[in-house]
Amino acid sequence: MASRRRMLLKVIILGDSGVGKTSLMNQYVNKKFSNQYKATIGADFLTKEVQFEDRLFTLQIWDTAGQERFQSLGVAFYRGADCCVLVYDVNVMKSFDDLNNWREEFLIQASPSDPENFPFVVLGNKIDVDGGNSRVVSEKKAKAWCASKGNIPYFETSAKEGFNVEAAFECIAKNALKNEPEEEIYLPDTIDVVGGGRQQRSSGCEC
Amino acid sequence: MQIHRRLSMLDEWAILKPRCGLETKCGSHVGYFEGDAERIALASATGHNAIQLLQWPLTSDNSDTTHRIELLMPAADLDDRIRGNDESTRSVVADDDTARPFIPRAPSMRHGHNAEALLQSTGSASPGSIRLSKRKSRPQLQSHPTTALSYAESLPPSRSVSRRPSTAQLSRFASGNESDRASSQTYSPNEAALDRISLLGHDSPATWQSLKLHAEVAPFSNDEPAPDDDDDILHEFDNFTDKDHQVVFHGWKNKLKHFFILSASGKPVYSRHGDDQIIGAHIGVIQTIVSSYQNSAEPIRGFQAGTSRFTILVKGPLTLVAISRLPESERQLQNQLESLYMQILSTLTLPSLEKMFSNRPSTDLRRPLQGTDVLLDGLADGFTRGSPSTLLSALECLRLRKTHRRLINDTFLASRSPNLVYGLIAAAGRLVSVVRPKKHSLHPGDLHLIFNMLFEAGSVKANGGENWIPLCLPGFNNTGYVYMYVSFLNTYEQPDQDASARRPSSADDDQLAVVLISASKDCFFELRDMRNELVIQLQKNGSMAIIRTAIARGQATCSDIVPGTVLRHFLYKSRGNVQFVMPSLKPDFDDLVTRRKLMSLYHELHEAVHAKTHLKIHYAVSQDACALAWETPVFELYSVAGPRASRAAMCQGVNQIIQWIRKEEERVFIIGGAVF
Repeated sequence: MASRRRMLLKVIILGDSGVGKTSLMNQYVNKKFSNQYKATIGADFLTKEVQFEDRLFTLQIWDTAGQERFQSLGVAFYRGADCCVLVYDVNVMKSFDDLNNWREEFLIQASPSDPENFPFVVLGNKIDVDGGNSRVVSEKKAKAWCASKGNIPYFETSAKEGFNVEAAFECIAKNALKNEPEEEIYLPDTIDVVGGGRQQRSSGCEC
Repeated sequence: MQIHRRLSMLDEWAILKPRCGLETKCGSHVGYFEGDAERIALASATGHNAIQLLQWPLTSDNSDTTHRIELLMPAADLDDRIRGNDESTRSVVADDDTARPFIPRAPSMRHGHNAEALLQSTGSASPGSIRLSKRKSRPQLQSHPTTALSYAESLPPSRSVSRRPSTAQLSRFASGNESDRASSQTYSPNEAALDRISLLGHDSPATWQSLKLHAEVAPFSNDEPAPDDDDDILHEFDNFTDKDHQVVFHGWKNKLKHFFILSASGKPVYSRHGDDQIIGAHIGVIQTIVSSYQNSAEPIRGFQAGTSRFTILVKGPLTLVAISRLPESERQLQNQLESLYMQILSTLTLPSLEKMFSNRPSTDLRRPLQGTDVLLDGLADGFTRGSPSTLLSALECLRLRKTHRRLINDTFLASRSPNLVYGLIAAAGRLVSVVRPKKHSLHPGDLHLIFNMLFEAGSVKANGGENWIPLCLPGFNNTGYVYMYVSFLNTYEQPDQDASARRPSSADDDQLAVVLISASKDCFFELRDMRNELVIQLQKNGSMAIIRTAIARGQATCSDIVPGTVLRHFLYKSRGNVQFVMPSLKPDFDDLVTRRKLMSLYHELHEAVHAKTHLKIHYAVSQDACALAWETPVFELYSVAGPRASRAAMCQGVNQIIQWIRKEEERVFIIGGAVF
């Protein structure tokens, strides 16, 4: 099966409760938006095929719950991510302030081999609200923070209007891919039979 | 089209009524499973007061049928439950000499020398390896026969007592004593249709007597319309070709059995059915379930959801999952998952696998495993069809006369080249001869991987001619590769013909393989020379003709082995030799559906005598078949007869099989083997 050989990239979406993580994902995948708020329980899983530079990839998107009580599942969700998306609400200062915590929490729990260069993408969501009048985090401030954390790519989005969502996820895919290593070739050792190929396991209980 | 399913919403949870919940404690988690026809909701309250809600499968269905959802608790909890509620048994000696034997046998067998078959072997073969020692598997008579029987006690003895294999209770079963239910069990799942046959044998009901007057019928041949899912197996191995996503998804859901392998980060590594689009969300759910139990005292091993049994095996950076609607136990599915894991190790080796994930937890293992799907599929489909070899963790040999096998062994040894580690001759999935160094034995799991590669997956023989395959034999050594020279032989080949100049292959050519394994990667030509020499010598001394005849003869049918028996099929495993014997599946179990039914019955019998360690004899009657399982320290025997076979006739057949095996022991098993 050709589709099987497609490379799979794991993307995790983090951010405070209610900033619109699930809505962004819904908009990206299903082109749908609902005003109704339903808190995510644990995590949502979603796959989407993307094409990038003539190669097809499968994005495996893990949309986590923002509420603190779900953080015990963190390790399971964060481990082995290829890209981490941090989302905040431009109308809520606290959700922006918390980005630092989310980023650090992710780096601690996922413990990537090269934390300095781990690919993040930051999304400032809900720019449509009240025609932008209720906005409290300026683009400049957000970009400054992103620059200070190793030039994290930054996008302003509206999940409701679908604004910039496609572009943001394209960047996410590109960044996830950047983390792809050179094809590792690992040649296992040859066994020293004279020294004794050890018999290290049994085929299970015979009783 | 994308699949996006919510695990669950809080408000949806509120709507779900706790109709059939089962509350249970699991480590630090309090789990609450609840389900209706198409979904499980799992709420697991942890110390952090987190709640996860899950559905399975991730579809909505309007069906209103309620299923009971059972959570399989970690073994520690189960132990407690067993201690608390179950009566365990142990063997005691009884003096009731008037007892009727459960297994009728000739008078000479009661106290005579034949009773040795029932006595415990002193051989302490390492359970995982084929022991090819010089010693015969037949145990020496160590004590005179006793009339001991197993006896149920109300005192709860420790598990170690009940696990101890008993030599005593095998020789005789008392009737008229309630206690013998403890070690032999009879059940008839379909009591309405067929009256229960009493184990005690006194009260055969009239209906049963009249039924017995009818002609004998083959198992699984009753005329009643089979339930729809009986034929599901016919579509089990179909690929999805439809473009319509809903049709594909429906087909995917209807598979009897799924195997998933995922990495610790939740990336899919392998799935038997379905592509990323279908399995993506399900993989995520499995990952969540497994992760929620990772911090508890023991990781989750499996659970039952509706008619599906989930079994989970966590091996280092990999999680292997089997989801089966077939009647298989958790233990049996774990065994199958172990085998898939060994196949992955066979491709990558353990250090390589661990290194990849420690360097990069997000490793997409499908790329290094590329091309081995056919091997994993071969194993998985073998398990779905039903593999006696995996069920019994044993191998099957080609039946040959002792002198013939010795000649082949000697020829093999004589042509041995210096760098050879193992040499095998295998015919159609059965072992003909093995040469091995004195200090190394061959692991049945490794041999199963080789046989799967050679005879099931079709990847090697498709190549014809010769193959040089680097692979890891994890049972032998999981840290590195050995190198395997494989050549399929034309049994009609003339000695003067060169391997490359053979006739185009026919079906027969694919049946006989010479497998030569070396630890040195530069030995291709050395092993090829050995193979040529071996073939020439086998031709010269007539062994090739003998093998050819044995292959053509195929397995004997049950009635060839025991003329006139009611038995239609059996599996006999010699524990000491880690080998098994079975008759041909012809004529009764030739097609996929009846074969699978037979295998399902064997799986149930196997579980029955393995789940409760004190259960040594298990007799089951259903509308479809009668079955008898008998376990002793020396052998395991599973036999099947038609639904109208009498118990006495079955027991007689079973005893005849045991006599036949004793007579044929050195023909049907490789005992000793060629050691250098």
